[in-house]
This record gives sequence, C-alpha cells and structure tokens, in this order.
Amino acid sequence: MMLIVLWGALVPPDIEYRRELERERFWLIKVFGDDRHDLVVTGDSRVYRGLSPDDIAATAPGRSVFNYGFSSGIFDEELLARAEARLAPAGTRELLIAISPHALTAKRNEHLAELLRTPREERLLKRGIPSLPLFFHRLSPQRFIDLLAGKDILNDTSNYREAYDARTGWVASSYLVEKGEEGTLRSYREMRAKFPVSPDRVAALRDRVAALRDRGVTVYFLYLPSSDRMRELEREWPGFDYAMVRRALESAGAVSLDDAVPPGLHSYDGSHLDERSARLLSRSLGAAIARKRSGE
Amino acid sequence: MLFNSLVFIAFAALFFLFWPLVKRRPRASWVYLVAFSFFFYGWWDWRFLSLILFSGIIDFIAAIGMAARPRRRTPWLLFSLAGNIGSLGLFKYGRFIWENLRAFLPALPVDPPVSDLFLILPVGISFYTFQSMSYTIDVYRGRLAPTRDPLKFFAYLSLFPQLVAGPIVRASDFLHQLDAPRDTDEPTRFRGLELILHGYFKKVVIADNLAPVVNAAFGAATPEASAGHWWLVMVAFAFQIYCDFSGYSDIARGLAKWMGYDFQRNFDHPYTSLSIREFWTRWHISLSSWFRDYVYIPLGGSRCGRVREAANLWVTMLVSGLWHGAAWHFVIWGALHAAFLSAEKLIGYPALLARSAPGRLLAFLIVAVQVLVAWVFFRASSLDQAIGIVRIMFSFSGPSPSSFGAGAIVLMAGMAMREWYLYLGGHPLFARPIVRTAMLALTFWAVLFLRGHGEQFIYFQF
Repeated sequence: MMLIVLWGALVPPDIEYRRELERERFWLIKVFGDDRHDLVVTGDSRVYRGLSPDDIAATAPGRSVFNYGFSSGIFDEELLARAEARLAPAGTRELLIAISPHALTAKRNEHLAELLRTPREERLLKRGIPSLPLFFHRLSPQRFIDLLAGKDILNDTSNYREAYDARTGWVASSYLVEKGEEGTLRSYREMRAKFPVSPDRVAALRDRVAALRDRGVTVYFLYLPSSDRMRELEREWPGFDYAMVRRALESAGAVSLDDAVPPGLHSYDGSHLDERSARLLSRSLGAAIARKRSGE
Repeated sequence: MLFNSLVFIAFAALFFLFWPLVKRRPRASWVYLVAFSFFFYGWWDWRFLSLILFSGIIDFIAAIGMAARPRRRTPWLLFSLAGNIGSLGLFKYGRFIWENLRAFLPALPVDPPVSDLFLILPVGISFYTFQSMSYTIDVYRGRLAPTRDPLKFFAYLSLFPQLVAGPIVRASDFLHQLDAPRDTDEPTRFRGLELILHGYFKKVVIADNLAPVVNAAFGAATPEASAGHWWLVMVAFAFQIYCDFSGYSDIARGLAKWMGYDFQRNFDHPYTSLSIREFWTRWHISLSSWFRDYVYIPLGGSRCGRVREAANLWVTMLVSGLWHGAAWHFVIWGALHAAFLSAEKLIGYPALLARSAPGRLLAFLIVAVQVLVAWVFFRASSLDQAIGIVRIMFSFSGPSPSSFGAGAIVLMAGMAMREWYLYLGGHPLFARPIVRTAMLALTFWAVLFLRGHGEQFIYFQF
C-alpha cells in the first residue's frame, strides 16, 4: 500500500497520460454535458478545431457560444438533434452548420456513436472525480523505459500542439514544424473515391433546417475554408455541388456566412485551420452574425 | 461489466462482504449466487437475461425429463440441443447465414427479416450454451444425476466469475461443490489473490499494452510492407490473446477460490508446446476438452479407421473455428489447425524431433510458426486481409521493423521468459512466503500504474 500511495503522490503523471485524460474529459463533457447556449456550431473536425466560441462571442456579444463539432462529423439526424438540444430554451437560439463534402456522405457518425457508448462508470469517474484517475495515473511500458532512460516525459515535446477547452468545445491546434498537406490530401482522395455525397443526406439536411426554422432557430451555414488544393479536390467530390447545397439551405431559410470568411487563413495540414486562423475566422463570423441579427 | 472496471471491483466487494453469511447454507447461497450473477449479466443488457433463463429452463426440464424416462430420453436431448443451438444459430450466426444465403440469392434483402434485437450478439452466449449442453449430455449419458432444484442449476449455469468468458465448467465437476463450498483458509485465500492479481497483470499490463500495436497494424489502410514487422505484430497478438484470455480465466479461478470453489485450469503454458496436438491440450482446455468429449468422440474419435479419424478431426476443428466467430476467416483458422494436426498424425515428426535437444528446438519453432500463421486468420477482419498479411510475412523482405517500439518488445520478452520459467517449475526462492508477498505487491503496483488503456476482453465477442 505504501508503494502505491507514494508512487501515486510523488510520481507525477506523464504528459501523454495527462493529455489523454484531458482529451477524454473534453469529449465526455461535450457529449454528456447539460449546459445550454445561445449559439451552437456543429460539423466535423474542421469545426471543432477551426471555430473558437470565445472569439465568436467577442464580436457577437451577449451570446454564449458552444462548439459541438466531432471527428468526421456527419450531418445526420442524431448530430443535428443533439446540437439543437444544446441550445438554450429561450434567447437568440442560433445554429451554425459548417459544410464539407465529407459531412454530407452516407457514412455514420462513428465518433459520436463511440462516445455515446461510454460506460456509465467511466463517465462518472472522468467527469466527476478527475483527480482519482490522475492519482492512479498509468505509464505505458515505452514511457516507463523512457523514464528509466532519463528522458523528459512530463513536458510536452510533441510537434503537434492541441489545447482542449472543455468549457467551449474547441481544440486550438497547430504544428511547431508543419508536415505539409500531402498526407491529408491522400487520405481525402481515398475517402472521396469510397464515399460520394449522398443526395438523401442533403435533402434531409434541408428538411431539418426548415424544421429548425419553424421552431424559431436561426440557422447559419458556410463552407469551411481549407487549403486551395483541398478545395480543388473537394470540387471533384462525387455528388458535391456547393452551389446546389447553398441554394437548398437558403430555400429552407438558412443564412449563408460564406461572405464572412476573411482572406489570409492558413491550414496546417490542408484541412484544419491553425489556432491563429481559427480565431480570425471566428471573430469575422461573430461580427457577421451580429450584423445579420441586427438586420444590416 | 468488465473485470477491469471500478464498478466490478465495487460489485465484487459487495458480494464478498456478505458471502460468508450465506455460503454454509446451500439454498441461501444459491439464491445469493443467482441474484448477483444475474445482476452481473444484466448490467451489460438486461434484455438478455431472458435468453439465459430460456436456455437454462430448457435444459433443467430436459435433464429431469431424461432422468424420469431413461428409455425415452433421446427426444429430451434433442429438445435441449435444439434450444441451445437454435439460440446460438439465431443470435450468433443469423446474420452470417443470411449473408451467405444472399451470395446465392442476391434478391434477398440486405438485412435479415428479424428484429434488431436478434442481431445483437449476447455476451457469453457461446460459453453458457456450451456449459448448459454439457449438463444435459452428461445426464443423457448417465454420467450425472440431474438436480431438481432450479436455483442450484442456475447457480451453476450463471455463476458470474465464468459466465461470460469461461472457463466452461462441467456440471460433474461443479454441482457437488455447490452443496458444500470449501473453507477458505489463509493459503487458499492467498492463492486466490495470486490468481486474481496475476490475471489482472496479464490482462491490463500485457494484453492492454500490446493491443494498440496490434490494432494499429491491422487497422492501417495500407498494411506495412515489412515481413519483420508482421512477424513481430503476430507475436504481439499471440501474447495479447493469451494474456487477455488466460488472465480472465485466472481472475475467474481466483474469485471461485475465494468463494470456496475450484475451477480447473484453462491454460497450461500453451506456447511451450512441441506439437500442435500438445498445444491443444494446453490452450483453452475447457473448450478443447468440450469439443473432444461432445463432438470428436461421439463422431467416432480415433477408433474407426484413419480416414474417418481424419474426417472427425476436421469436423471438430472446423466447428471449433466457427464457434469462435461467425465469419469464414475463423473457419480457415480452424482448418489450418486441422491441417497441422493431420500432418503431425500422418508424418509423426513431433515424436522424431522430441528425441534430441536440437530436435525439440526445431519442433518448438515449427509450432510457433504454425500458431502465428493461424492467428493471422483469427485476428484479421477478412480473408483478403489475412492472405495479404501472410504473403508479406513469407516474402521475408521489406524495411526493418525499427519503429516497433522497445516497450512492446520488453513486454513480449518478459512474458516469454515468465512462461518458460513457470513451465520449467520455477525456483524455490520464489516459493518463499515473503518473496511471494513482495512479488504480489509489485504485481499490484504494476496493475495500477503500468496498465494499458482498458480494452474489452477479446473473448467477450464470442
């Protein structure tokens, strides 16, 4: 028992474990949290990395904003229903959906589904008593060997920097040394070949937007920026015609924010915006929302 | 609930808190066992309690029916087999059967015309149906008198330590233990603790730390084109599945010991085997002996000529493969083992090699290669993937596996040494109480602080 108490108290958790706990807690709070907001942004990883709620709120004052994006998020019934459920029952009630061709395919929302399967006890532990898993921090054999070899396992020496903000649902992301976009483009080409945009998905999204409008929710949308080469790749995504998607959403009463995308944004991997660009975009979108609300 | 979860720790603590009060009173203990076991099983999905009840009631009634009318016992046996195999067929093999039917009749709809509930694989169904069938078959054969107490029967069938992933406990070994559990003196409790902690160590330290390496290799969109890498991955998987499964069995045995019961050993250092035949006397002993006693021997075993013996062997191994999963790559895994066993029988090389030390080393290597290649088919998600990996393994080319990770290699080397050390009988030093206690303390520390991410037990999917 002494060995266990001493180890838990005196040996700090290594950075990998702390990041893992932070990441798990972030996702559990996002999915199982019960806080409500005036504006919820939703979509895929370009959303949860690319849109900062605090920066949106800075230029659209008087709003509480939350990022409800997920890895490979798909605009299905479940995601949209859960995003709507995070809106406050009264107040401005706005939803921002960030379009990408991948989010309009017939795939399942696997990340969300996996999170929803989290056992009760794990949810309770990681959300309710985070200090307990921190005390009983685990060390992988590789890290144990690194510790014995005198390597630094307590500080973040990784190239990929992520800051998980559970309060807002945003992950500020960037690379110290960027690796370029080839890898991302390759994987998107493979996805594009396997998963065309689904007309049924687009139609269902349009219908859902119309229903949200009927319930008093203002829906905004935009085609999230990425790199020029990614845009070119996505232009040839089977079934994807953004002009047609835009028309469908506008016909259902959604408001486009495409004109609010500022120039000079930078993606660190061809798909996701770095922290600086995410903040710039968010401020611009916030200002656009404020203008539209006040009836420019 | 998983053994490696806090909720199970709380559950077990509550169980053992009050167990001493009921264990000496048979009926009270059976009520207690059934209540806790049903809670344990229902924690996963309460709807499937009805399935274990259904299976159990059929076999309880069938056994009594057989004993009441011994000359007309065959219809009761068929009733039992139909109920058990029927529920396995529907829940475990329904979608597999349907998909294969669609290969011949493409006009059939994509999903089988049954409720979604029947497409969920109930945890442990393969284990408790086999356990239940062994009960009725033994009654049929006159080897066991049936119990007339449903509580006693369900205490046997649903006992939570072995309910969802074995070992498959025979009624002839266990029913009488339910009448009078043994006293748990200090050596028994200590031995139980050793089994539990060693089981957790194998599962959460070894298996769960090797899992990410294996999962990454098999999950990659394009497999690594390095033979060395894949041989290491397969050794990692061999240890992962062994430690995962034998770890669970050890925890089950340790818990049973604390209750005052004895489960037979389920693994006996299988990777020290010098023939595939020997491997199957050491790997998942409760299942392999089940197939021997209830499939191979009733088919005729080795007593009806060489051709028939070979056919019996193949049927047994193919069914064993299918037991593990409703997919053709599991059947191929079984077929490979059947082929290896047939080759050993035909050529007789294990006996020849066993005569010398270099021969035994060669035999060990042959078995290792055979087992690792067969594991590829077991682990792969499709036949295509398995064939692709085996091709890479035998290309003996590609870049060196420099990125494999020292941590994984240390784990595998450590487990290999431990297995051989225990197989060879250990050292008297490690039998001394103070050393055993110190080792247990270290094991406990490792379970808490060197554990892996927390993966489900592999055999839960069977």
